[in-house]
Amino acid sequence: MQGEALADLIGHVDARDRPLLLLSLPGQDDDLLVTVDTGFNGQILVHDVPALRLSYESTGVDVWVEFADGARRTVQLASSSIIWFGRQRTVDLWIARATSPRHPIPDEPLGIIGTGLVSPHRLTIDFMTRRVVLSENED
Amino acid sequence: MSNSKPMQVPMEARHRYTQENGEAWLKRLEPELAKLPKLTVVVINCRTGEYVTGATLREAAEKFESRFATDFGFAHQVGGGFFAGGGLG
Repeated sequence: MQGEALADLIGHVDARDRPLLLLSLPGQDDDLLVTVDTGFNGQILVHDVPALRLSYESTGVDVWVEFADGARRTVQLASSSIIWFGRQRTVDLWIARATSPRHPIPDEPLGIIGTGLVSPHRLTIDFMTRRVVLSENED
Repeated sequence: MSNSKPMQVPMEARHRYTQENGEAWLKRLEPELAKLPKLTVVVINCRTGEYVTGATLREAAEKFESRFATDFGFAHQVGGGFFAGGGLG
């Protein structure tokens, strides 16, 4: 898929009404299932265990983040790469420490993507048809 | 901890350190940082209180990494902030 520009990324709304997309990772056969979270203004946030699936470069910077319950805590900032609309792109990866042990569950999203990655594209979440479309171009 | 390489410190200890020290420095620096343009990203050195700024998180983080190779930074956005919604608690 790399090198071939894609106009749209297509995902779905799951049974729990979460908008999901599959992210392609450079050099990996397995995609990363993520939730599209418009309340998140970073690019990609994952817990520390799923982060091991990604190739990333750590930094010494932690980001002070406010979560939905109003609590604030720091998460680690790293740099990683994904395939985005058919091209490799460097992204800010935020890695949060899991507060309780988590085991991967099949078909469960392993992270969230936010408006820092989705902007400036057009995101359509259609809960009627259960379809998620992220369009690269406005036209 | 200040002389340790960031990648060699356990994550829990690291986050506790950056949160406690970062918040303390932020409180102290707040009058100064409030003069910066809104949405400027600031990364504060958790050991010394020195800081770098950038228009984006990546820009500020890269400046921090090149200036303070062995210290931890605490990233904050002036007049804005970073929000994680509810998808990953």
